[in-house]
Amino acid sequence: MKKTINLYGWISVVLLIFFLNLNFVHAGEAQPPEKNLEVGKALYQKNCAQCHGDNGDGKGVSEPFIFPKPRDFTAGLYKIRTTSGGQLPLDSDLFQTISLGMPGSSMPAWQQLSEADRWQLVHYIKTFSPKFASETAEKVVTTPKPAKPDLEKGRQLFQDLECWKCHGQEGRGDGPSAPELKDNWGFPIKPADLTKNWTFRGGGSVEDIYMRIITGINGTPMPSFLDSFEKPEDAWDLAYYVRSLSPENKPEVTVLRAKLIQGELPTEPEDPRWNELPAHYFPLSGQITMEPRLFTPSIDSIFVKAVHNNKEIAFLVMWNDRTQDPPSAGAIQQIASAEGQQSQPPSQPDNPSAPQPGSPQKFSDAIAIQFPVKPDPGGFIKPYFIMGDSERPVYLWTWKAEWQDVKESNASGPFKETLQNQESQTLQGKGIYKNGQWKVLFKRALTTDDKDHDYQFEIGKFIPIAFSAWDGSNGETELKRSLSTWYYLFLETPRPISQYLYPIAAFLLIAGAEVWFLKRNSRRQ
Amino acid sequence: MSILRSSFVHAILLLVIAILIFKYGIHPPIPQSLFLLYLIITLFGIFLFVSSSEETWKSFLSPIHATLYDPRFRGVRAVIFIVLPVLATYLVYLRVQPKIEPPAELRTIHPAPPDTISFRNGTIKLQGLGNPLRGDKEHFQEHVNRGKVIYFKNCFYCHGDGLNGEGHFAEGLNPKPANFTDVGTIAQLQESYLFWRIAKGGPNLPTEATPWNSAMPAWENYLTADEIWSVILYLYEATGYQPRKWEQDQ
Amino acid sequence: MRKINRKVFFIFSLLFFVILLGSAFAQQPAGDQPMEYRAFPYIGSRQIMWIAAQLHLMFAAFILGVPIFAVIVEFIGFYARDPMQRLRYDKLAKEFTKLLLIAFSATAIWGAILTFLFITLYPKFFNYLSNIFSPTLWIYPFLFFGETFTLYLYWYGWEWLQGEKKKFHLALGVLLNLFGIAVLFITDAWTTFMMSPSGIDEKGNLVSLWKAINNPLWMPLNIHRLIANIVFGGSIAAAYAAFRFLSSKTEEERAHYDWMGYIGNFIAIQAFIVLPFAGYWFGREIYAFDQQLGITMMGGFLSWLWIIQAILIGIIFLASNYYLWIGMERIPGAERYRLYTRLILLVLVVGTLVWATPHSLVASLEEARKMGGAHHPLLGVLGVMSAKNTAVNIMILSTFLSFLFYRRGNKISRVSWAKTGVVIQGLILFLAAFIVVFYGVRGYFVEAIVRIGYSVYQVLAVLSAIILTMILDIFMLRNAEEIGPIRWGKMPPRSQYALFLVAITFTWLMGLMGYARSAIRQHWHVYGVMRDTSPEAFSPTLGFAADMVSICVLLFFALVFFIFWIGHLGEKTKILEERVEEEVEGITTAKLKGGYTA
Repeated sequence: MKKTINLYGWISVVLLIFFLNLNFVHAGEAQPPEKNLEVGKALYQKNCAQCHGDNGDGKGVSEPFIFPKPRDFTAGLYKIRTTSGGQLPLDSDLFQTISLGMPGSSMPAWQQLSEADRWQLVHYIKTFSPKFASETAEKVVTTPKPAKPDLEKGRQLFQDLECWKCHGQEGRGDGPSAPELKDNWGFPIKPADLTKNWTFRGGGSVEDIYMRIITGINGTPMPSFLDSFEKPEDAWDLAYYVRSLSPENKPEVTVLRAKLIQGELPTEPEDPRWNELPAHYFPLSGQITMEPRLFTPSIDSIFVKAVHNNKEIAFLVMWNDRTQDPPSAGAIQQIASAEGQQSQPPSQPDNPSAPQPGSPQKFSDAIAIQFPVKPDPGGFIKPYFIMGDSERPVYLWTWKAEWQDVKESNASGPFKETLQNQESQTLQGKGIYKNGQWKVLFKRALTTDDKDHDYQFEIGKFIPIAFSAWDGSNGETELKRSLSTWYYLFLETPRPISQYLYPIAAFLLIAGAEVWFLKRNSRRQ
Repeated sequence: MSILRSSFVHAILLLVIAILIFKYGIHPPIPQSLFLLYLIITLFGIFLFVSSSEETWKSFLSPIHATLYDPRFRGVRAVIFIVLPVLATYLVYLRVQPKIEPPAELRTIHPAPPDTISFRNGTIKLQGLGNPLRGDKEHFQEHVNRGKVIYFKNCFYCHGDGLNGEGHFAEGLNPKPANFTDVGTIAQLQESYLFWRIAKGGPNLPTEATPWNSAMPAWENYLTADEIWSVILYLYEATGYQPRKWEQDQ
Repeated sequence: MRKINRKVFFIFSLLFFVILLGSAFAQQPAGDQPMEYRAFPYIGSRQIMWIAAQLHLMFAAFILGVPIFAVIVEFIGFYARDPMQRLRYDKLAKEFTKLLLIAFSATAIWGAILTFLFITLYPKFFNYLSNIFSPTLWIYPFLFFGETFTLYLYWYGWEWLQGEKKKFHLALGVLLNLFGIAVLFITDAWTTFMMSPSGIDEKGNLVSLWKAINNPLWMPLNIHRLIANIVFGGSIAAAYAAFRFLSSKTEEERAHYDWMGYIGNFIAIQAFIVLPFAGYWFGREIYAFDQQLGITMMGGFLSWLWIIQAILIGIIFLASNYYLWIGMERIPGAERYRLYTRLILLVLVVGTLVWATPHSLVASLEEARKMGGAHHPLLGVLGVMSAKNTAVNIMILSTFLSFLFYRRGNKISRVSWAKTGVVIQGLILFLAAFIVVFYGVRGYFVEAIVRIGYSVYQVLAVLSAIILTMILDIFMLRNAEEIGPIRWGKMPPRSQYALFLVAITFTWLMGLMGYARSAIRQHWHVYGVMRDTSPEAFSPTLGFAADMVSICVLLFFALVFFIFWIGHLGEKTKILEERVEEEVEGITTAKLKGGYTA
């Protein structure tokens, strides 16, 4: 008995330590510390001044390289609040903003600072604006969350309150007035893309969305809608509707799996068969490795679907872009009529990015898929992810809005891209733009005659794949692009016969062993 | 015999606890390769635990023996003898399914640096090289401040405001940008190593460090040697770490 | 059988000698372009050299390690007071030597094969090395013959040099070891010269032979190999005993081979405890000679090797502790310590887990994203040197504790201060553990150069704790009361498999670490002096190296098994056993008659 107690004793001790540890990790820190502006200033200088400026005017050294711009604290206008529209934020609002950061911008969540330090920063930041001395703010009156949201009503409110004017009919931030929007400082500002709730500045939960709707976002064209609802709880319906525009969870990167189907592959981006396939998410970043660099990309991610039938492979690449470049004739008309009194075509949004002033040249929207030219025999080494190099070139599929077509090319590094000969161009494709989203289809035979320049797809192998995307109105072309590093494409295989043989063999082996054992056993008895 | 005293139950219990801890007790979750490694070591340990004395070994074997031979357990035996081949068949079936887990990448984070590197038009010998600005005590703070400005004009998009590799471009990159606040990065490297990595960037990594995926630019194209050294100074000052010294400094 | 053995041996030794001498004077082949490399068909030059060198090395390690402890065992027997003990130890020493004799010819054969291959496949490289080392190439065969003749005298003179003449026999044993060590040191000089060439000018011409021999890595490798040879010899001898134990038919045989296995394992583990320190010194000297070499060894693609090494060493620690714990089952009174052995098991498993945690993890894309890079924020802490050093030192302490429990299993101290003694021992060990953990944790907060210094404190704490505790223990257990005698032979078979596991793991580990030592030269034959320009100049991948090592280990054990089997067949006359049996019988009879009072 003694031994038993010992073992279970030890197990409980281990578990106890384990859970205590977890508790220590989760245990919160003490109450807000006493205000000490000296400490706050030192912390501000160390962690914040590089973007927000020594004087809190948002003119730090990194300011030219980032978009959205750092906040100018001197105006006392804060985006994320629980107070009425136009009012100052509460201290706890500022604390939350520092702690959770501003998703979708360069403002990180400052979890690595202690809570005490974050409170000191709150106190110090308030000294930049005289408003905090003269004005007071109160928490906005909220209604409790309804037990059951009415999404249909929310959709109706989205129309009636004209949310779509900025945020677009499907919420991708492509509304007709989106291009002209300016913030209180005269900088261009983009309406939120409501289909990516992980980029919402104040958080992507229903509660966060509700709060933004009723308090507005100070300093931006987003007003408070507190008084726009017939019944206060209607705001919740709208919040739920907005939430429903984004996926349940932020998507994660997975292997791009090309499903094996029978029959012909879809040739239209709108083919209903695409809807049955899973969309794979790939985050992109600005190309900042080689000149010319793009510090303020406008496309942060793409979704890709893939399908093959053992003879051909087709991809559908989807991404959100607030503007179509070059705009189609229909689009110009549409916008013009929506604008009504405005006679001129939509003005170009100012280039938010570049340090150099003046509006950028406009280019065509485009997308590219990149493969190696040949697979590495070891399966490990890949070409350099930015268009390869002379030793290991890459094979590219590019679609451009201005071509309305897709082309194959090879590159052995930036500015060393050559389109393939006409006879080698076997790639087919088509792109359409609708409600702030591009959908581009690529299709090619798995194997081609031009074995020296085209990647020959093999089923059942992990094929390196990378993507680039360009938003023409953001001055993106050539190396100025959003891009991904290498990911993997996998073409599903038909079930080989061995897949059934091996399990059967295993069954026979084990069953045989059992029979042998039972026989021996009975003989013994 | 109390079921709690059976070594067989102990072994199963220990195994379950170990799996729970490895799977759910460590955040963020550990990769499959490490989980397997841990599991194998633990299994080995549990096997030694039950077999290290005659008493526990017998206690461990007796339920197995009983199910195999004892006439009273004929029913259990029959069930097991039916379940076993079916289970094996199923497991083999799962195993021969085409895998779509991407191949694991054996990436060396800190590959061995070369002895000398070319820098712009000259060459720099890395062996034994220290930060030339570190000795300049008089203007030390100036160098650090200059390094900070350079960092926030060039590096922070990826490596982050907090120097933790969580810059706003980090999401789109793989491998993730280095986290300088981690004890495993700059805290255990010589400053010349940082100079090499900053000057030469991703494309010049050796093969085992997957140079094809690193978005780190070769900063020799943008920064002077002095600027790189001052950024290095800033990294150490801001994180509070000391660079690793060369042996002969002792 | 033995005669054939000897014939084969002499033929090959002679060939070996002739080749060595011949090649020392070898002229460059005629023609303008001297032949640099030849290709070995199918297998490839590097692979065949790899196998030949590795097998030669394994056999050589065995025949150098075994005589060291054979002679020690003989000394123990010589000084033992109890005539039973005298006989037992003498028999054991002779049995060890018999293993030696059989493995000796295999060493010579593989040495000859290696030399053949070296001369024919890498003529230019061989020529260069023989130019540098020609005098040692002349001395080497003589030493080898010296060793051979001493061994034969030692073996065949065993019965002749008994009683009064035993001292001469012991002297022969010491001489045998001296020859063996000299042979080892000379080959080490060649090996280490390739890594840390010294005594040559910029063009690679010889300036000082002594400096070339006494290059910076010579002594560290000598010591490292000497200790490792003892471990290796001990573990192979224990595996041999385990094999004989499992196949023995009588109680006496079982008791004898149980005891032999215990002694073999004991020797192996004692030496094994010191081995990490010798390895550490060797590594430090590699860093000191050339940081590039050191960084390649620890940081580059070879860094994964250290993880494998950690797992293997963890297995060796666990398996040999396990062997002791099972052994305690046959010691009356040892069950008092069972709870502690369980704790030690826990510590060892946790230690292995910590040690085997890699710095950068093998992770798929998705897993890496979840972790935020190949660095795990929590486990990354365990991946660095501080954690690993701490784990190893604690594991060494735990293993030592197992030995203490084993030692006092059936004993009750009779000294008056026994209780105080145990408390002091506990305090010493606790203090050592505390120092190890303290410096391990502190290592995270100081810079690397200080951290490296900490490992020295940890090692010193562990070593001095072991020595102090052991001294106390010896005094405490002097004339101790025995609860009951150890029931030799009453071992369950699974304990013997633990001995096999230790032997195989250690052999594998030796091969892998040898690869690491050799691979850090990368594309150099002689580091920084003579470049490898053959098509196989690239460093093979770790997976390939592991396969090669596995092949060598398989070949080695197949050969060892074959040799032991042949030796077993040859024992038709069973001179040894009969003599012992007779004498044991004689003593027992005498005892019964009251002739002896032991």
